[in-house]
Amino acid sequence: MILPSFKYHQPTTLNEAFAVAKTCNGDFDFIAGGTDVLPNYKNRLNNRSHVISLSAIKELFELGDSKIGAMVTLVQLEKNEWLLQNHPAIAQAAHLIATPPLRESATVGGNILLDTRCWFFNQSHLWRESKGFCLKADGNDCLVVPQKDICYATYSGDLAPVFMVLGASFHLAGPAGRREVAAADFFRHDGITRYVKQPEEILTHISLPENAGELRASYRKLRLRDSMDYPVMGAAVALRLNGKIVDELRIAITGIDTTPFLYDDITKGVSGRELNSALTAQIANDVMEAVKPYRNVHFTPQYRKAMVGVYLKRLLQELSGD
Amino acid sequence: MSKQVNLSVGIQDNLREITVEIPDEAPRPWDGTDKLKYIGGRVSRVDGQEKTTGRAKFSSDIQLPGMLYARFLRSPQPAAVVKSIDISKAESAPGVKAILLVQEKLPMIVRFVGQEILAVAAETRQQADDALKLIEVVYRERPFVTKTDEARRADSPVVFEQAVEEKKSEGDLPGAAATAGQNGNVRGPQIRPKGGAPDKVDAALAGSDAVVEATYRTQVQTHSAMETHGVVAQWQDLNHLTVWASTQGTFTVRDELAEVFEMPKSQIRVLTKHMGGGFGAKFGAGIYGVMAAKLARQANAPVRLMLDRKEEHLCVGNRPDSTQKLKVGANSDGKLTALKLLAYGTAGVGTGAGVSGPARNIYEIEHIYSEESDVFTNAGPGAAFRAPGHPQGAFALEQAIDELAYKLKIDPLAFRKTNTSKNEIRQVQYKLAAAKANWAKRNSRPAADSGPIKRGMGVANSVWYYFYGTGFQASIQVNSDGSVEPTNGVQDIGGGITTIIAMVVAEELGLKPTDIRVTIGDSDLGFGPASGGSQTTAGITPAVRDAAYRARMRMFDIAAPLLGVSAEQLRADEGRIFAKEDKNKSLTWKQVASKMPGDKFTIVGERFKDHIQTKPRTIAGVQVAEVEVDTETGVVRVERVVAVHDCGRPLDRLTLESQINGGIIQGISYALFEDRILDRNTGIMVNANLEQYKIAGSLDVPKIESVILDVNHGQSSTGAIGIGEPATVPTAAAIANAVFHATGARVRELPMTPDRVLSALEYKEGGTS
Ligand SMILES: Cc1cc2nc3c(=O)[nH]c(=O)nc-3n(C[C@H](O)[C@H](O)[C@H](O)COP(=O)(O)OP(=O)(O)OC[C@H]3O[C@@H](n4cnc5c(N)ncnc54)[C@H](O)[C@@H]3O)c2cc1C
Repeated sequence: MILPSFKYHQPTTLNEAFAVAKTCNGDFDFIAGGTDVLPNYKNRLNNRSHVISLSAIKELFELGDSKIGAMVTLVQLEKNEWLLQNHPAIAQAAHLIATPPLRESATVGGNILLDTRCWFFNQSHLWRESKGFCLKADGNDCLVVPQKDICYATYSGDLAPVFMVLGASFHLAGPAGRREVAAADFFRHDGITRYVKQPEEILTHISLPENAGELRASYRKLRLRDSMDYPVMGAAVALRLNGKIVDELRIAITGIDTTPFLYDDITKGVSGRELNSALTAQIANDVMEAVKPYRNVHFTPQYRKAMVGVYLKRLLQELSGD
Repeated sequence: MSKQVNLSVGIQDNLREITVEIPDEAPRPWDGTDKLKYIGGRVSRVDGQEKTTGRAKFSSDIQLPGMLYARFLRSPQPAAVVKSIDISKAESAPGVKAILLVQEKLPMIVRFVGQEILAVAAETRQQADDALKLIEVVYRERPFVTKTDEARRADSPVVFEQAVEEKKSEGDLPGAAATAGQNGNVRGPQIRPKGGAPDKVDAALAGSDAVVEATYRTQVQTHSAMETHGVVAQWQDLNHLTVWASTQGTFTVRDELAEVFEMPKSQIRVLTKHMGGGFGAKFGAGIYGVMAAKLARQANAPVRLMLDRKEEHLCVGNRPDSTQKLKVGANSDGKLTALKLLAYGTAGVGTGAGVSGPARNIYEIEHIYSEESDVFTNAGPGAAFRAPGHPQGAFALEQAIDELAYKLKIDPLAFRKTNTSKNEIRQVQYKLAAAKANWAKRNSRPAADSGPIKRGMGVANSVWYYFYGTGFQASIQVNSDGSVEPTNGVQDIGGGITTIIAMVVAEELGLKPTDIRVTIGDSDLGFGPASGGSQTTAGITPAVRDAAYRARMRMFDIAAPLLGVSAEQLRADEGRIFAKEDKNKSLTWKQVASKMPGDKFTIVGERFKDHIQTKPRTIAGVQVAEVEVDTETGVVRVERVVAVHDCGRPLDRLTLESQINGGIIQGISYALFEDRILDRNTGIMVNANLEQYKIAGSLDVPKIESVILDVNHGQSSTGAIGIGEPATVPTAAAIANAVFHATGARVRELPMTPDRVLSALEYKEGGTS
């Protein structure tokens, strides 16, 4: 597969980037490590005429003090002392992404903003032409759930659920100024629009709340091969216990639906209760019942759903030191 | 004129003397008592540095001045009649130099998604791709079928109206092509009874103390070699064609092109300097090779046509699937009585889905009946794939044997021992495998671990056959500067034959392998084997040694008068030629070479028939797998594989181990991950890439420990036998048996994905198993 031709820009400041973007009339993509953008371009998936690299904008590379710049690479996340000390779940999730060479170029920002995936979408042009184009690229109908309104491609980023359970915020900068959006409110239930970020906005960094360090968090990923695979289900749990009593519990699941999803409505109710095996089983089961996988990846929806229960049970046992 | 020599042959140190007759000017075959310097040792690949530094040039690296890029237009339809093709827009597209239809006269019948319709050559790859989009093809769609079981039904759409002739390659087993009838989409059955008519087998089964019967299914696996299929073709003039091909057979590509273009073979040259794997799917010129040569002639420019990964999955070969109904019986004394195998599988629009090799060739069973058919479906053709039919066959057979052992309460390894009692090599292999794997410590009870994660150990036998061709010619040129250049047309498909040739020559001449400049991969050089049937090393090394031996004799003749001794008294070692009795009478290899008349001499060695027939003619192997099964998620993790294989006399243990490792890794990948998935509604392969078509990666590879047996048969001057294929035969079966031992559940379908393992566990819980 070969890349289509495009014009490459490398602004050195955010304002310069916004200015370049403005001249592109919407026909552009930002690019960070390119490990998601470029494979999609090779498959002629929504490729644009202009590609604006973020690699020369210094402020996006900061790391430390509860702040992770969007251009920090996954390898840096895996190996960062401060993260390993304070938020090992982030390093742990980063370590499970893609492969070591890819993690050298892949960035945190690109991972959060990863395009959604689907086996009717992540295919060559010829394949999609033979099968009929889908809603997400070149077509009018979703091939997973036949209708024309929303795209059911799956969100498959590994880091977002961890940021969600830690209560992180995503910081955006755009021509109209800067804003902060809670990770929990960032994603939109549609495989095409995906999130609240506007196309011309740049994710500058992620911040973690001060009390995030008091949470014990962990992430587990279901995939076929250890060597390399997107999550077909990933579960992140953050827990603060007071003895055996739950002070705070947050659960997020990725790789199942069009967005990573935080199950606060289920976990809010358990604060103040003793985390015994019955409660563990109940929580795991409630979340499992709530997830809705579609038939658009290698594993069957039934299997992925069942695994939510198994993984959550194990995560809760791990975090409660059972 | 011939001479008689005594040889010490046998397994490891268990040697006995035999006498064989060999030609006068042939070297005494290496035997169990020879103390050799390189042969049997561990020698790194002579081209290793070139490859790891990226300097090695593969066919896909060839760049020629003025070279055009060709691409195929492929059918998006699984079954259709091509009524018209309009190329007018494409012809005038930028950069386009030639467009050729695969079948010049329409209508053309299309039978699978990806079938070649036409090819375009343009100045850039992008221009060729763009031109394809301008071509308008009118298809009349026809009904199609992609599922093997549906294709067998009487009301299924028919893939071929006429009888299909079997297409054979160098990788296929002899006999696999026996003519068979054709009924609808079913070709066959091919029936092979042994020990009486079918009713005898049924009677023997009925009279057995224990019988197991089950149906096993295996999936379609695509070859997925690192380097895709393809060629660069260049016409020197109208009568001379040169082709750089990614192939397992420089000569088979040449022969096919000579036939298609009706040219003398000597006017076609096929080059394969380095090659990125083939696994059985790369023998002939292929439609891509033929079209590239035609386009090059038409456009009067060199043409490069390399397939992409999608085309690789769709069009150029795969391991057929299989459904095997297997019934095996044994008596309470632990002796197998009878076996009945009813099997079918689909090779898409191709043939060759037979799987009965293991069932007929491993165990001592009096009554065997096998019935096998090919089922045509609208999918890309199968091709020979590393031990065709055998991983499939072993998956079923070795699980049935295991099940029978448990049923009779006999240790599965002991049960195998009893039923292969006449095979000396197997008996030694079981002992070595058991010791290495610590079989004695294994809990005889399945599913003995408590907790959700369970460990298990399983064993399975491998079988393959000793093949070699004759008439191969290896040349050795010795130059007056002392350099030594062996040449032969054979290609190195990654197995390491370049290194082996250097070792054989170095050993014979008393030089170092790095001193030897090997040139291979060129059909203008001496005739060499195609790399199929695991015969490359066994085929070519005797010719190489023959030439090297006679080159040494020639050097001794030159040295003898200089040293004042007779040639018989001379020896060669460490770059010197010296008198055996008086080492002071010595000259360096280079000094002797400088005294040769003229500038160089060349000797041609030939591969003749073996001096004696090896016994047994099958190649034995056994593997023990250790797995960990997560019974809540169904995930199987292979922790360790112990492999004991026979390959005759080991030449380079390092490249040999690589072959075994590769076979096992591919076997694990087949067992757990790989699966070609076709969309039933459109006939399109859903996962025609390497992201969704899952192949084991480095973190999925367990600890592999191989024990290489030294078996000296004395059959040829080097005693080599193949290993490329046997190592992949038993892996999936051993893993399945280990999964059973861990969990008590039988997974009878490949790949053993987590959801399948969970279903098998549920089935077992249900108490129906
Ligand atoms: C073989 C393979 C395996 C993979 N496996 C995994 C996996 O297991 N898990 C997983 O999560 N991912 C996986 N990935 C996807 C990808 O490598 C990672 O998600 C990576 O972190 C993406 O980062 P990037 O910098 O390369 O993103 P890019 O490709 O550069 O960008 C991705 C998207 O984010 C946008 N973007 C990036 N940065 C910014 C920013 N600062 N502001 C605004 N927009 C921005 C881009 O415009 C683009 O839309 C895999 C990729 C490959 C090729």
